[in-house]
Amino acid sequence: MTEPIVDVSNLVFRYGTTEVLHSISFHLNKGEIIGLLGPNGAGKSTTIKIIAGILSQTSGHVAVCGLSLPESAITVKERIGYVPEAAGLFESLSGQEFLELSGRLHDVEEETLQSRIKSVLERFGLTSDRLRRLEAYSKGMRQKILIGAALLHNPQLILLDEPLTGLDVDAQILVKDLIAALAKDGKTILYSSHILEVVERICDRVLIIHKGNLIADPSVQDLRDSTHQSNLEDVFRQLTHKEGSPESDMSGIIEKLRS
Amino acid sequence: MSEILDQIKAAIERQLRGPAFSNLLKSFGIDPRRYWLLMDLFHKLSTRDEMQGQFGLQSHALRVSAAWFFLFSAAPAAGGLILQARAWVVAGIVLAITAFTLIAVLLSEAANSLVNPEEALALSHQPITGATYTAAKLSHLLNIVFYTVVGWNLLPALATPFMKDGGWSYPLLDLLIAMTLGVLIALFCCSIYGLLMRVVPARRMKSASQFIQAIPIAIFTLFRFAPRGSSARVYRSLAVVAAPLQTVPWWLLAPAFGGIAIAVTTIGLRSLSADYLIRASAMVHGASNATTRVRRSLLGEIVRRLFGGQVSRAGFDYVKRMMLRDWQFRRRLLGLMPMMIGMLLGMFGSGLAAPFSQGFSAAHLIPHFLGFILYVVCILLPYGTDYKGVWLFLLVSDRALGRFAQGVHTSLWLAFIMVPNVVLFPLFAWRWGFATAGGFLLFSVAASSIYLTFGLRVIEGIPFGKQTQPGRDSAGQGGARMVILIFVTLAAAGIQYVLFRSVIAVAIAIVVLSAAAYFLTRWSLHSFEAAIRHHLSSTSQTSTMIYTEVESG
Repeated sequence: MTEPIVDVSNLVFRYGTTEVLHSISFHLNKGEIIGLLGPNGAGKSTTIKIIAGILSQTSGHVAVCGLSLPESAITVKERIGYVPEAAGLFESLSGQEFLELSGRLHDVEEETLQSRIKSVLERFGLTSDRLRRLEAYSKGMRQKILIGAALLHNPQLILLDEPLTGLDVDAQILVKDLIAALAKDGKTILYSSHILEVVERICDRVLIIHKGNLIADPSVQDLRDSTHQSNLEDVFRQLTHKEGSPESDMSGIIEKLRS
Repeated sequence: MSEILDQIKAAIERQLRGPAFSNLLKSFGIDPRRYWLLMDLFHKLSTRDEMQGQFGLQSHALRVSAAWFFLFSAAPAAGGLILQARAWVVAGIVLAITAFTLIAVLLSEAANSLVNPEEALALSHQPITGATYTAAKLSHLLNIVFYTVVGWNLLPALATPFMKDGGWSYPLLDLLIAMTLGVLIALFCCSIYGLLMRVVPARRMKSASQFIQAIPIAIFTLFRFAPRGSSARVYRSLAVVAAPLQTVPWWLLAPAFGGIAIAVTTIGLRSLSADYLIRASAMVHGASNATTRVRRSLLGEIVRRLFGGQVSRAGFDYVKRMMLRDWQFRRRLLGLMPMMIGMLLGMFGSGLAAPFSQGFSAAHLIPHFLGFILYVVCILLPYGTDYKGVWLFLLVSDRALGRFAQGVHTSLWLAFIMVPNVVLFPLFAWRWGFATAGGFLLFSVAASSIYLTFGLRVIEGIPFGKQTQPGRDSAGQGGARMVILIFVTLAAAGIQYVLFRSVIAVAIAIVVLSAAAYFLTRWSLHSFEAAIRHHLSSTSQTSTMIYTEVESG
């Protein structure tokens, strides 16, 4: 068996006195697309940031490509691509300039970089807007730039935090195809999202985090079989929803609004 | 003591939030409940470092700048006492200084509050009237008025009873007049932007406001550094234009001017509050239509080859572009621009004798002038409008940060040392001869480079990666640093004057300075790299703050 690209064991993370991740363990293999699911505040983004070398874990072992974090964060950062959720951008730079900055910071050769930027801009339909400043870009266009920037240095591991936010249907299809193609090329993709339908469709495996605990780590099919549910949304609801039916919760809100 | 002050503060606040003040607000079309909600929100955001760009909300910065003004005001107060000047003359001079300071500061602050209102985007869909929002947003300007007026006027006002024609009621009267004038100036500054919004498209407001902010300093510079005699000519022309007014009696003239001023201010304020929140979004994204050009930069390629590859080039291009485009950086550098241009005009106006001539030449100031500007640029460099984009650098390997720092250094060195010297070289060669100009150029480059090495040490992190903090660099440390820097540059210019009496001494100085610049740069780059690393490390931990519980209610 080959060594996993990401190996996480007994990961604990605390913000001050608040424990956000409680001893979670999982691994990601080469060429896999893994969905990272969980309600808001479950610890998904924190997990991704730790794997990206942006945050250091409180305890536990995290290794990317066989390199331990945070000790080897320098080398790890050269091998990962990261699309953050709701990231700020240097808005006075143009799309082209932002991509150039990102690629050069990762030391991509100029000729290679320019040809990759050209390809990314063409594929995302941004060629005619490449010289406009990012402040003029729509949410979806910014997202495309962020995804493009994460791929320019040809990373082995790609961490996507809500990558489809703001994208139109065409672009969503494009990104899904891109993810599949990247996995086929041997890249490992950790995909955090709230859109369960997409996760169900493109991911080989799902990790469900709830209140800082990893509550499921099977394949999508195994998960459906074990929970006797027909789709991932029902599985998710069964695993993470608190006592009481959703309908009763919602009717409570409506009552309050009427009062 | 602090308990009594707190009680006084609480009593004032109770009055302000009471029915009397609420009725006053209502008479201006301001919703008192929402006004106080917004005031509390802005205060909260400011204490939690969300709105650091607002000078009027930074009490520490205000106190420090008031202390500086207090210190400076000792000169007119002491002068008035020693020379036994008339009390109203001294009070008038200080009042004029106060007015100029307020106009310069408030024009800039009002622009920052109104033209770059990030939080307005979050509030624009709420049922808040423009009058309520702008009133709450601009109330902090009154803090600036209070501290500036007290800072400049307290000491001279207390001294007026002991001056010629001074009375015991003068201090109170003086402070009252100064405070009223301050409030009127604040309203006037806000109204200017209200009028501007009517005539300038929203997307051009950022550029227009920068132009407006530069006017007071430009006027001051023009009068201070313009060639001899031209100021007098302007005064004479103004006197000719104003001549017909001399025939009008003052009791008619004063109310007429007052009425016009009040009318203009009222129209401006009404215009500002009418549909401000609707225009906010277009203003924030002011340069939406601006495009950039694709140029394969030869300099970028040279930097890549000589100074550490692609990462160095990234630093070079990033700083070069952001210096030209970042709103906060440009806004704060703008204050220096007229002074720079004025000083250059003054230098060239003085005839620019050769540096080796026996007398003092304005040329001796050039390297130090460039060094001074560079140092100030380095102080301003870490702060930018889009500081939240700094996450991009968190993904860069630590190894690359040193080369990035090298690229930043190269960008600053080329833009502020090499380019000005090369541009000036043909002029110097024409005036002094090729050899003298060449020697001077080498000296100038070496001397300015020394300033840059010290400048690198004050860049506290990734350029344009921090939120503007007026509390740190506008008043306290910044003010003290500026005074020291001015003394250092003047002393260095003096040493240079002595040095340029001997060609051999200058040649040795060039070699020594160049070597020193080389070694100091290496030393400073390490420090700059450490500052970047520290900045990134604190940025990556910032999210821990979201789990810090805040006081409720």
